[in-house]
Amino acid sequence: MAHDIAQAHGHEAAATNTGITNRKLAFWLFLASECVFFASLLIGFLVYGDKTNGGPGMELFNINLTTISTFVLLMSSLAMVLGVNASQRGLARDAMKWILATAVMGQIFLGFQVYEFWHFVHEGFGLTTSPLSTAFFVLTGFHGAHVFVGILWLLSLLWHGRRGGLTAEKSEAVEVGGLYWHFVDVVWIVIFTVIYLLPKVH
Amino acid sequence: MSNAEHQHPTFGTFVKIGIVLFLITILEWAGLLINGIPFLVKAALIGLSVAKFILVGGYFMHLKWEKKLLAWAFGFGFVLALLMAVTQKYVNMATPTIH
Repeated sequence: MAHDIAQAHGHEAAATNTGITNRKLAFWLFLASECVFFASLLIGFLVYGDKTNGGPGMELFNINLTTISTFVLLMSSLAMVLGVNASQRGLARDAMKWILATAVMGQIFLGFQVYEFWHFVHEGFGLTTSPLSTAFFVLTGFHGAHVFVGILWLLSLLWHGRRGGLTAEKSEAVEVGGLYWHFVDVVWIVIFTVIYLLPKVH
Repeated sequence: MSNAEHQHPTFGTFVKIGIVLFLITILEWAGLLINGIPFLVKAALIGLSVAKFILVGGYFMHLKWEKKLLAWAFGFGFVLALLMAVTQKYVNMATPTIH
């Protein structure tokens, strides 16, 4: 019965004591460790947030641009969850389209970030300019690297489903990829608030 | 397993959550236009950020429907991260300034 229900929702029945597949449990534990990793980088930013070495500081941050890129990343998360949902329902081709849309939006987000970095460097706010700039580039750079890895992961899913689409049998692989993508989104929600929004409040 | 753990949300539910996330982002941006009450604006921005975090985690990452063990596993890492951030605030206050 449990197996039938699981199959109907596109999940493999988990033969574990927890009822959760090992892959999924391990991945959630990995995400928990990633929380600590990003917290360490965020703490660096909080500690050095006012140490500019006389150079440019947070006044350079363009809130309008970052709000748009944040919106793009949030919508990519929506596309991803629709892709996972379509895969679980056996709508294999729809799942491919949503995941392609997610990858495209991820690239747009990275484009915004590359533009922002390029602009900052030209304004004299480089990686080694000050403790603040180093903390900023390391934190947002690592987040961008995670987005990049996520895009590669999404492309690998598209390759995986090139024949017959991302069917219900492949839905757990899609779901785990989706978890990674949503986590990257959740991390950005925190970064956007702490780095971009709160320092701009007057 | 509870019935809730088997009920997958519909396409429409996810789209509604997406619209709410969009509206929250607009509100956050608009919040910066308010001057003179920084404490209230900061509290509101943190609240909106927490709301986005919960919506993405609960709905998009399916924690609302998954077994509680996964929420506990992730929550442990998140709370540890939060404690680190809070602790640094006090440690930083007690250490010499680097220029």
